[in-house]
Amino acid sequence: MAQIAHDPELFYVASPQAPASRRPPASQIGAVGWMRENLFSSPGNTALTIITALVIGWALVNTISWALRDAEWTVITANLRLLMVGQYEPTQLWRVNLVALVTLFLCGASVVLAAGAGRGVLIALAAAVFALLIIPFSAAGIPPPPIRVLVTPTNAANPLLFIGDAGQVVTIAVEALDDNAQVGDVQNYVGFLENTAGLENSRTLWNDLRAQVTAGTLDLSQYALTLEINVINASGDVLATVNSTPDAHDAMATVMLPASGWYAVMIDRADGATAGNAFVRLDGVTTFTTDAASTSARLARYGEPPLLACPDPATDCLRFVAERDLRFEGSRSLGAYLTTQLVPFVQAVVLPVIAGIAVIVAGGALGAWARRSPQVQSPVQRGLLIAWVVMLFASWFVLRGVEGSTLLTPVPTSVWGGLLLTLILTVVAILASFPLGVLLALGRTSSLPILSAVCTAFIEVIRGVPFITILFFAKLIVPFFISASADVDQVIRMMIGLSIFTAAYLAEVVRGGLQIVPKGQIEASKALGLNGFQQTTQIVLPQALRAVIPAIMNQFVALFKDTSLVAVVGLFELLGIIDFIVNGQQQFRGLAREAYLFVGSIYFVISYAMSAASQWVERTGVGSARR
Amino acid sequence: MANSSDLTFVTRADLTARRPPPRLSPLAALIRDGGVKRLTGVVYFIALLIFWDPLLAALGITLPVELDGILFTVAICAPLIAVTLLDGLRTQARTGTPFYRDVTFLRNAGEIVLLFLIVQAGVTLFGNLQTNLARSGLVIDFGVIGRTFGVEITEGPDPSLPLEFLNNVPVIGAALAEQPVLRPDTVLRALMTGFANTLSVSSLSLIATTLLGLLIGVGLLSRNWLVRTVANVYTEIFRNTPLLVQLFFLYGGVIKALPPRPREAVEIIPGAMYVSGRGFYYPALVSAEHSTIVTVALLIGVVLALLLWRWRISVHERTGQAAKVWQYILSAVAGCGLVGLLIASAQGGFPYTLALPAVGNFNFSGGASLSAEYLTLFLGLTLYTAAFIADIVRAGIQSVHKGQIEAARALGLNNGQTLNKVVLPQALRLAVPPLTNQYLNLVKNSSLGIAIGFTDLYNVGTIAYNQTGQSVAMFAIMAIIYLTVSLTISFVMNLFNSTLALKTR
Repeated sequence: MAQIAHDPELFYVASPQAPASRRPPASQIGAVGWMRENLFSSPGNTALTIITALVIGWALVNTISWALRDAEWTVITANLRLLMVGQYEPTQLWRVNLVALVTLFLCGASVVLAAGAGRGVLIALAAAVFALLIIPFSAAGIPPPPIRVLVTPTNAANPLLFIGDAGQVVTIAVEALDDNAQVGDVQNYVGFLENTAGLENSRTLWNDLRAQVTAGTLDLSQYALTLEINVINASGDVLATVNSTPDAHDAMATVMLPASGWYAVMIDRADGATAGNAFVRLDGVTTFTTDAASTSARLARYGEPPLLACPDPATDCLRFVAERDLRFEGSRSLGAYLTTQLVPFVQAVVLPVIAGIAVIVAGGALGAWARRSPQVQSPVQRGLLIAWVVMLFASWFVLRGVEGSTLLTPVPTSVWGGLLLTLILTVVAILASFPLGVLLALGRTSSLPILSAVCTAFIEVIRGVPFITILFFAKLIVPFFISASADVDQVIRMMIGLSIFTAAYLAEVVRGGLQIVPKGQIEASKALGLNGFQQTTQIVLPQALRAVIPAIMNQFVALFKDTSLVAVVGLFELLGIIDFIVNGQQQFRGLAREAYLFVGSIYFVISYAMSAASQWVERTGVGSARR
Repeated sequence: MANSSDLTFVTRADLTARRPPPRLSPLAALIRDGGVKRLTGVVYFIALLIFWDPLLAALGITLPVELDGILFTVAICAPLIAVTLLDGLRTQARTGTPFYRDVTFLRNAGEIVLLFLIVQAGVTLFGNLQTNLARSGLVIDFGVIGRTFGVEITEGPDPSLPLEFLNNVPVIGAALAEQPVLRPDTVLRALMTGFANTLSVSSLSLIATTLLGLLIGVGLLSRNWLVRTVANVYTEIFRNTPLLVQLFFLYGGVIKALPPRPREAVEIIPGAMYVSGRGFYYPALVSAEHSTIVTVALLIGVVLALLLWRWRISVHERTGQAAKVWQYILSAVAGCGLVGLLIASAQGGFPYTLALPAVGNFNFSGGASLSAEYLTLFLGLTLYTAAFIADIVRAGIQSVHKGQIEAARALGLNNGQTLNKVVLPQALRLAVPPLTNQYLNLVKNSSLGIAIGFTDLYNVGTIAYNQTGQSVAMFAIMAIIYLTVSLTISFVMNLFNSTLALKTR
């Protein structure tokens, strides 16, 4: 032993100096190593990486620049209520909120009770809340983009009405168009769009003007406008005056508003000197929204708008600085995107989202407490189950209303729409199709030939025809099975169609599960003396269903996506309401892309969450007999 | 000692005798045969359905509706009741168990009760349907297919295809041969145009989506992180969004956002391929009169290729030589095609020309085109189904055990050979049934063309229903056609599947 220990040829003896770093070479570890391994491991791989990066990069850059600079996301912010609940009676939305909050609470409690709260989920929720609260501050220092109105020789310079608060600083300026070079792209020009057929469309006028100047038929240097612009308050007192004369084309004035209320900008052209075009620019004025809730709040706070020598306000001789009448021209900066698109959207959703998250966390807290103390676990579980059943029945009456009640006034299902209708269709179809599918599967695999033949024929016919054929059948023909007056609710017809369709597909899935149960189980149950019913319900079905939980959840995800097809049949759920929003409202025409992207992302988020949940169930074995 | 006639003992002689089972007379065998029994039952059911009302009318009996229904149900169940009773009584005579305690009798009785309930439910529902429809003034009339169809269909198959030979097909031959045109005068011809449109977009989509799905599926397994991530993101996005949202986005946000005028159309290949808001324009292949020579030559080439294929397989199995099947097939087809081309060119110049689409003021002249709706449906179906097929391909390839590939390497097979002979056969075995499912889904999803205005079968059927009010008849016709297509695809794919199955004893 001692001999071997001292033999220098057999053992490595370290040199007295410390060796160079024992770490692996830098090109093999860390980011560089990872890139060499995954992206550049061979010439072919390198070429593939470069080509893919170029293509994807080009697509991403184009998409993001479109989303930030050209897309009008105001169509989403302005129509959030329609997208979420359709045309549900606006004064009765508290019922929808109540049902949603109770559902979220029960969801949080059930999930956490069954599976524990993951730290990642809590962190994600906290990050979401933080982001929602911070984003509105990101635009705090950025002034809103200016508002411009085009004054031409032909259009009547109608008064502009806006709302201001005390202490607000408003700047009015005249930008004379006296040089042909001024018809280039105007940065962040926001013009007024007509909201009825009465007033000229500033943007169209501006584009016509540019076309004329470019074609050479109009020369802007022949400028001879004299404008007198007065800022008045609701009682007619003049607060500031801007005079633009042919000698002094550009003029401006700044005014600090003394009190909260309506203000008007009166534009007068001096007689005779009417040739020429100019912009009247307003800075520091914020626009207001015109949906029902905001209007009532605005009327309560600021009162009615002044009449201002307009004999009949209904004939549109007044222009309002309203959000829905604004459209952008030119390239939009990031600041303008934040102030006009992102921040209003976040402000619109922050309260509901935070309330929802708070309720989920409260439910989760209840679930966590019950999970930790074993003696309350069982009663809480039973309580939650009863709560779910009660909630499902009660929510139908809460949402639908009861005839003759003053608290729960009836709201017909024909006005239900948006995400509310999608989720209701999904939930009802899931609950109805599951027992039906199991029964069909048992019928198909039964040993009675007639029952088996009938069930097989039913399943194969339903699976062999397209889904909208089933919906069409449900909408038009099923009512005739019941009564001639066909007064069955449209929504109920769709629920029937969805349930039948999903039940047929579920039957196939459950049939696969039934085939997995070993024959020995059935023989053992016969040996124990169980009759057919007990055998099925206590031995076969539990094993069969647990084996195919992932496939069943997959089918439910497909069902959620397939509810979009009722849009073809005429219901206004999440997808169907977009047609109403984009084509039915004049100011949102041509904004289909934004609307479909938003709705697509809602579907994506919910479907992805459901798929992830099903994969998690499959992976962790929650719900199986032995964990 | 007991009388030997009272007791039955089985002796070793009986066991070793290996007597064949007693042969039944042909009549008894026919009666016992399960298939014959079922067929008789079905024939009886259908006969009773058809002749019930005429029978009652001939006998001069009129009944109230409910009694009619119940009597009909009893008539249907009567033979079954008789047979079950007879069987039960016979068992009772043989074994002494009363028939109402015999398990077989009870099961059959339960089945009869179920049949009674099902038939009664069907009769009630159908009767309700009839009375309600009559009350609303509608009558189920399958003759709707002969009625006038007053709407012009926006697209259809090429009316210049020679189809006169179809006149020989009974019943629908005349309608088929007179080309499904764009202004069909009967519902039947309109349905055929719609069906042709459905088949056209479905078949093109099937091919494209299989190729794209394969590509992305292989990308999902790539060593390259960027490619893998892109494939993953693509699959997740297109699987988790509904197809209808994708179709609407493609139609409203992409294709219809392109400029509709030809001068502003997007040039994919300058001078030859354009895409505008009105569709996709590409060069058309114009075949001259004598191009039939080339067609005939190609057919001969295909037949030759089939023969060569069988010959090479047999050579390979006999002698072990490399089969080189693809080389022989391709050279046969290409050679015959070339010969045909040469002969045709010698006769009258090159038989094929390309007709390029020419930019006009309002439209493209010449060339072939796909409408915007066709293009949208094709793209939407392809992209959506490719995401699912990619996942199936990935699952199929991952299901092959790693040991298989290691063994192939140990045997000295290179990449291509491993793929062809080891990985793909096993991967396909797993992948073909879900692939069949996706193909069926694609064909059924083509009915969503109605949402974007594509005149497929479902759209045409809806128009016909709206015009004639015959919802039940149109639904039944469309259901039958879609079922037939689904069954055909299932059948073909099952044939393919059975060729892949492990050949075991």
